[in-house]
Amino acid sequence: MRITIILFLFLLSLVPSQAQSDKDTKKLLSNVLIEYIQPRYLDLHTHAQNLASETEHLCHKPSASNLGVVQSSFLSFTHSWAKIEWFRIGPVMSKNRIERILFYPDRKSTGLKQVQRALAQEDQTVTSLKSITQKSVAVQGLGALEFILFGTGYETLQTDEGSFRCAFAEAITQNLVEITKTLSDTWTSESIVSNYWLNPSAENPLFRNDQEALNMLIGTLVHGLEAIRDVRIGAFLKEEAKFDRPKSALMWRSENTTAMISNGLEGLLELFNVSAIETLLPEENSSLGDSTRFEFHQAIRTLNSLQKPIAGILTSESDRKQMEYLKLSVGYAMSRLDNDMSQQLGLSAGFSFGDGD
Amino acid sequence: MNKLELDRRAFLLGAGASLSASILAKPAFAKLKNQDAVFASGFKSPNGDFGLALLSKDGDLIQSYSLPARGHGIAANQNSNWAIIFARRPENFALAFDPKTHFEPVLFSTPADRHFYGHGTFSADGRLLYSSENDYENGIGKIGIYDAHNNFTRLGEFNSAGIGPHEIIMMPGGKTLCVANGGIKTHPQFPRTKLNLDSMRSNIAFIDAYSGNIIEVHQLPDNWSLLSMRHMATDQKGNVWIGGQYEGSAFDQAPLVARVSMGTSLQFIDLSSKHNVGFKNYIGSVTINDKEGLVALSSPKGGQVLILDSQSGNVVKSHFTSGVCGLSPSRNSFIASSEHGHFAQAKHDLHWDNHIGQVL
Repeated sequence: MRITIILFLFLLSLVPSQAQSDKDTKKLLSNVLIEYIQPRYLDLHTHAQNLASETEHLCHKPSASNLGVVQSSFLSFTHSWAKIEWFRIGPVMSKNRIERILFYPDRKSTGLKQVQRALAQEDQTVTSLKSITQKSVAVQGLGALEFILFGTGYETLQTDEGSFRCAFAEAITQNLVEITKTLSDTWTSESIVSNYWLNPSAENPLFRNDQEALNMLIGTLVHGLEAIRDVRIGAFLKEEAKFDRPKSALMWRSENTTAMISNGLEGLLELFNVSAIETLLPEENSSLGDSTRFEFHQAIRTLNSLQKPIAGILTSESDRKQMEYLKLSVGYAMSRLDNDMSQQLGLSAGFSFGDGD
Repeated sequence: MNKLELDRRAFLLGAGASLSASILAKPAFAKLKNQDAVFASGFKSPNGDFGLALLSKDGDLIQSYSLPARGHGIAANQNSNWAIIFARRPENFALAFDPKTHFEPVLFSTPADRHFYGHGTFSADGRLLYSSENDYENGIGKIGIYDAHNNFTRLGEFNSAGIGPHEIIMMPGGKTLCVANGGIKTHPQFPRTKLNLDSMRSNIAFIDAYSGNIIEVHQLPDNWSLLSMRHMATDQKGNVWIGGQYEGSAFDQAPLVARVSMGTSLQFIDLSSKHNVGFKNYIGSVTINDKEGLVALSSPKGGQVLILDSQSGNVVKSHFTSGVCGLSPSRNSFIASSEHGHFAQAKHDLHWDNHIGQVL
């Protein structure tokens, strides 16, 4: 049959380069599972439990200091989430778990409006775990909780006046406990998901061979960086200062915008380091690992000098320039991975190349 | 007009100026005369530039044009002098080119508050061009209508019957459009971000090409709300084959291939686990060879081309090739291209985009 002949000719010249050995890739996958996925989800679940118990305590004994504890616990949870949120593989992609933890961007503030409406009307369906999980994802997670803890009227949580508001917060934190428990439990060493993760095979839905596993890893890093640059920074930093939108920034109310970005970068760097993917590079290109790390460090260092409210950063000429530099740095890190490293490993031609078209 | 749109317009003007330098040269014209079929595809060059190429059925490069950004789907019609390459979202340009090279290319764009989704189709007589577009401020899918006899002046638009229309095809008979509404809301402010995964719903809509009236909408079932139907091809009997992209977990084993026709419910095609896994939740191109009774579907992420019998839906053949996506029926078979530079039997130092269109 002519079809067979033509496609076969095409196939002959398309044997992928396999610089890496099976053993190396298996070690990489095992490292990522044991040193990144499992501890990160466990950390997230632990933070969720802390946040839930401290919120419960606040609701029983409202006070300024207890509110402060919950606010601090909220920030810790969000930073734990930022470190793993770009790892978009497995159960986190089912049942809208990602959006239920954090719905962003919310271009028309539809989520915020729902939260404000629920607070104004004291909608009882947002005060129990069972009923809040039936609501819009926008009222179930961190966006809603940030407004409750830091938005207009948050100070009522210091007294009994905020009892409804606190019950709303409590339901959200219980929801976060449930979701993060599922994530943590699903990635235990004995689980089916972990088994798939560690053993590429023909019918494995995650990856059939080592090359797909490496594609997945580099793709996670590239897409994470792309989202940080275009969505997290791009949301507020525009081409000219007069078009900047500080109130579109993630978690501007809790002055948590830049910390979320730096924790996101740190999480991706951790994934990169744990994987030790550079050890699979041809020897003459092994320095690519260091140059990629350099770009990450440049970006994180820049952010360390910008741990302040986003509105202030955007109105300071020097801080704004730093933010522009940060955006470039993130792009450089992407380029190292997307262009240089993926090509050296014989992987895809660019990870934005096959995305959603 | 907001700042983003002003920037884009300025970009388009610059791109238009450079296009005049890339008109087909005489030697290429001679090459074209000797071809019994000519194919077109978008590409990315190693230095990051984007363009459009015309190629022979063997994959020999005949001519190339520069593009301001990445091109995606191709539209062609035997009754039109023109073929079109549409920008990939969220860009808003399209390039009309004459495969026979008698006319200079025409660069045109959507209105400022729309962008292309990368696909379009001609009316049966070749006078009108329909394109899938995004009314991004309102999150509504649109079908833009352009006058192919008047420099692709925009004539109007109608609703696509959903969010995120992607591939759009003309049904046999030339009276009805079929639109794959992917269901995913996007906005140029966040170029590649999917904004409504919590509430997305994809559908296949049949729309009267003259009035814009919605004839039928085939909604996906609720349990596959994260499945985005995006690419399609129809046979001469009006059986539409559809390839989907799944936004959920790889473990969900979503049904990625479906078939529908007017008056008949959408049916998912059962595939073995191995073949389904081979798509990696992402079908990037669908095409039909009517003469051979075959459907081909490809996945650049899974490197799989699956060929099905268009009557039974049974798998005839599967191929695994890295980065494969572009597909087109050829005289007795299919040709394919890959992001690694392969096009039919040739290899180029270019990354081919996801689609191939036969333009002559």
